[in-house]
Amino acid sequence: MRRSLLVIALIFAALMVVALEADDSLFVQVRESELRSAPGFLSQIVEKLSLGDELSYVGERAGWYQVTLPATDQSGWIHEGSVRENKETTLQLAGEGTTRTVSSREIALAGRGFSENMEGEYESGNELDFSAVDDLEARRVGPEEIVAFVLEASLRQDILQPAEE
Amino acid sequence: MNKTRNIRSIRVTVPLVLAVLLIVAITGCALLAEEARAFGIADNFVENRDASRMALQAIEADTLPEDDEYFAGRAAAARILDSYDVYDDEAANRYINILGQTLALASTRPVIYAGYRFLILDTDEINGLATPGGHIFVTRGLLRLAESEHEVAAILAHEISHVENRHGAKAIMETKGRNLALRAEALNYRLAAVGAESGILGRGVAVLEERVQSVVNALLGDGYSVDAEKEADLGAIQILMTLGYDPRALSTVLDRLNDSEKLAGRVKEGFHKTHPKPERRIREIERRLEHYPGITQVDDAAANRRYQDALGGI
Repeated sequence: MRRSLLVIALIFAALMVVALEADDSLFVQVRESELRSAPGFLSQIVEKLSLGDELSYVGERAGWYQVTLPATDQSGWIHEGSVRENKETTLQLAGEGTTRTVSSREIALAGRGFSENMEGEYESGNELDFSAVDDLEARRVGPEEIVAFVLEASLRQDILQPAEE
Repeated sequence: MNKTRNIRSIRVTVPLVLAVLLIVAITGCALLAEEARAFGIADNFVENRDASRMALQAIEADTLPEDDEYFAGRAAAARILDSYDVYDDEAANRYINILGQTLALASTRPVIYAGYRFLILDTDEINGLATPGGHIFVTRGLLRLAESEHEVAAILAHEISHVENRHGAKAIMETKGRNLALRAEALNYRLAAVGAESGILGRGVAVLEERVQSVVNALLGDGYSVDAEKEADLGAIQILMTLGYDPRALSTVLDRLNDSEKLAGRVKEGFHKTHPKPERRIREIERRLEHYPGITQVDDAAANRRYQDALGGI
C-alpha cells in the first residue's frame, strides 16, 4: 500500500497549478438577475442578466455592488448574492506540456451543462417527473405585488428602500 | 449494476487521491502514467483532470456552489412531490408565495440561484420542508396550526432560514470531495472538446443520488440537528422583526404544535420526528425575546382579511 501511494504521488507531483491574481471582473452566478438603477430589489431594472454575464466592479454599498456591463457600458447595481468574483486559474498540464487558463465563470457555465445532463439521467433512472418542480418554479411574484403586499398591511418598508450610504 | 460498480470505484478512488494529494505536497518527481493505470485511477485525461481538480479547489474554497445547491434541491423537490399531492388551491398557494418571497427579501440571503418558491402539500401531517434550492413546502396540517398572518409568516420564515443558513448544503457537504472531482472531470472534457462526457455522467448521477438522499433524509427522516433548528428559529425572528411582524408568533405556533402533539399522542411522524421538542425551542425563543417591546405596526385588520381569504378554509 505504501509503495502504491508513493507511485501515485510521483504521478501527480508533475502537475502544477498556478493561480493568477484576480482582476476586477465579476460574473452572474445565479440563473437570472437584474442590473438596477439603485441598490435595492425594487429599484428600476436597467438590464436583465443571466448566468455567466460578465460585469466590472465599480464600488459597493451595504451588500450591493455598483458595476458596469462591459458589453454595453451600462452601469447599475446588483446584489452581492447574484455575483461572484471571476478568478482565473492556469492549469499546467504535464501530459501535454501546455497550459490552459480557466476562469471561474467558465467553470460555472460548464457546471450548469453537466448538472442539467445529470438531472436528465437522474430523472429517467428514478422514474421521477420534474414537471411538478418546473410548475413550482414558474410561480413568480412581481415586484409590484410585493410593494402592494407590504403597503396593504403597513409592514415595515425597509426592504422597499434602496440601501443607504 | 453499473451504478453499483461506479459507486464502488469512486469509494476506492477518493481516499487514495486524497492521500496522494497529501504526499504531493511533500514530494516532487516525475510522471509514471502507466503505473497509475495499473491502479485503475488513470485514463487519457488523468493529468488534466487532477490539475483541474486542484484548480477548482483553489477557486471554490469551502462553499458548495449555488448551482450545486439548486440542482440537489430540485431533485429533492421532485422526490417530495412524488410522495405528496399538491394542495390544489391557487389563492392559498399564491398567498404563501407573495408572503414567502416578501419574507425572503428580508432575510440575510435574499438571492439564491433560482429564487425562493413556496407550495402547500395536501396532507394532515404537520411538516415544513426546505430544500437547499429554495423550494419550500408546508403541509395543510402545519398551516392549520396558524391563526394569523403573523403565524404563517413565522412558519415560512423558519423554513427560509434553513435555506439562509445553508442547512441543506451542509447536509450534503460530506459528498463534496467526490463532487469536486466530478466537476473537474466534466470541465476537463469540455475544455478538451472531447465528446466523452457520457462516461462520467453515470458517476455524476451516483453522486447526485447520494446528495439528494442526504437532503431527503434530513427533511423527511432524521431532521436537521437541534442546533440547525435553533439557528432557523433565530433567523426567523430576525426576518419577522425586519418586516414588523410579531416574532412571538413563532413560539405561539410552537405552543399549539406542542398541544397537538400531546393531544394526538404522536411523536414519531412528520414534524415531530424531524424537529426537536417544541418546549425547548419555545424556551429559547422566549429567552431571546425577553426585552422585545411587543409592539407591532402591522395593520392587523388588513393582514387578517387577506389571511382569511387565502387560508381561512385550510
